Amino acid sequence: MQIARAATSLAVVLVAHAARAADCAPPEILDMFPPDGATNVPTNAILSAHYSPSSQWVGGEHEVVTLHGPDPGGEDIPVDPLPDCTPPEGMDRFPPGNYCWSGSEGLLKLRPPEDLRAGSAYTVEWPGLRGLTASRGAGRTVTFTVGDGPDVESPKFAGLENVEWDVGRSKDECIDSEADRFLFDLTPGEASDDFGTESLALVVYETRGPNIGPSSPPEQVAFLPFPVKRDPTRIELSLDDGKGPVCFAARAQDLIGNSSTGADKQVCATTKKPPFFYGCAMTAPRFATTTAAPALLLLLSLAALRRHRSPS
Amino acid sequence: MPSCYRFNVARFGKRALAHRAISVAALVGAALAACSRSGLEDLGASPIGPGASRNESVDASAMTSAPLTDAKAPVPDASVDAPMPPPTATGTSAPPPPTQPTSTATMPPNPPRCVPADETCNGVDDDCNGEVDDGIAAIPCPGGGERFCVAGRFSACPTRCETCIPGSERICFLSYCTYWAAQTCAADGRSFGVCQERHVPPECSGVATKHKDSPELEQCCLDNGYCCRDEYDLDHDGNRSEMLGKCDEVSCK
Repeated sequence: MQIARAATSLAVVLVAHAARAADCAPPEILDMFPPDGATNVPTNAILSAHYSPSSQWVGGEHEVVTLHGPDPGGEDIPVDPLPDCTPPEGMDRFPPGNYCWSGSEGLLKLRPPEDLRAGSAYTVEWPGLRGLTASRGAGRTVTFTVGDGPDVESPKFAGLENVEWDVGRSKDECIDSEADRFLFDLTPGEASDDFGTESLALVVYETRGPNIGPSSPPEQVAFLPFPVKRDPTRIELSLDDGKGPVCFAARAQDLIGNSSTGADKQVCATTKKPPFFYGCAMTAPRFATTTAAPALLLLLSLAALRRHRSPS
Repeated sequence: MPSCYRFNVARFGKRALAHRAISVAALVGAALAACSRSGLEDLGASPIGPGASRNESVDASAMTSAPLTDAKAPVPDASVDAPMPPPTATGTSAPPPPTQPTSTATMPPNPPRCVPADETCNGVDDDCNGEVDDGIAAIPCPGGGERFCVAGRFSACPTRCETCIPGSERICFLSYCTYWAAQTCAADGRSFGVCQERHVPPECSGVATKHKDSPELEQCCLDNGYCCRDEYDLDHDGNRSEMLGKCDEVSCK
């Protein structure tokens, strides 16, 4: 009977653990390019949505991208899925009239079949994708207005200007404990583009770190909308990836995929790993960190007392 | 005075009693030291708590101007290797000092002009147009995305996450009890959680019983289709923190 109870309790714990892992990090749309409400989108824009790392696209009937316009009076525009975003031979981009999933970038990209009509409004419905488990995230809809022509110039960007760092700790829903992170606030310099900065993306790289030497390839650590009014952008790194001398650089990218200069300019800081003490628990369950040390002391004390009394 | 004290003092003497007390204290101290986690090696520096600000912002000098010598001559990446100026009291950096020659007596009166050359990804304004590494085409990546010229060299191909797919799990190994454990990837994909004990799957229970925490157990993990932390470096590449096995749904690559 007791064995059955123990087995049942264990099963409940295991199911609860599995359920927690399954619910954590649900897939979601992080950003959209252009953003909802954008007013000066070039006619030759490639539209995209940036999904969270746990997202997976399988191309099913629930993962269809819909383009509607030109409004007023528009209709759904036929676009077809591609297995990936690899450009065909002789082309520098995937063909118009298609959308594709770039898993390594976390981007679902849509290239309209023809140039967007100047001055008109369009709506894109980005689908919710599945995550590592069966749960599906929510889709999002974006509406934007087209500007007066194509984007032909690359954006200009002065590079990053400043970095400040700190250490943060927050409860992580997947590991059910607190996760420590280095926090870097990066201030971007001036940026400009022939169609404004509202649809620009800021792509940040770690150019120096514990695992990145002076000649190692910089690693992309963020892809996000260019900050409004050059507000600082926060980047988080694990303690292993952000300890010691670290440097960052960034570039701006427009809706056509053109990249700016300015990525040669780096900002650097030297971080220090904080002295957090986790206690005596081997697997660090939360209750053990507060009860293990006193319990150990008590056991040792009792053992010492018993040894003194036993030879009587 | 408690009777147990008078009894023990009479029986063992004060010196022996003191020795026993010291031994117990030493055991307790050793246990506490063994339980400490990394970070205590830094003890001695001022500990900071969450939210405390350590503003040490430094601007690395950028290679924005053409070199004084031949434009094709390789120039060290001074933006990273040069000594960084110390932080100011306000926590932000002062502008980097202008590059000065070490000996003013040898400075030529008319520095040679930049000699234009084809722009390459090297952190230098090769074509003397005032822009560093401009117009350099990106290199497509096989798995999607592109490599761009950043900080004088081409970036790595983008990956969907930094360390692991959020919520995924890999097998790790412990030195006690079942020897079989698992780590879950954090929600931001930047690290794994702690190694938490699990029941050994039936196909590896015999190996765990016989060999405990061992290369054999890790091999059994791989042979049975799990994603396993390579703690015993079974692929002999010197990396004991990587993952081996069926890791498509765990690894970022």
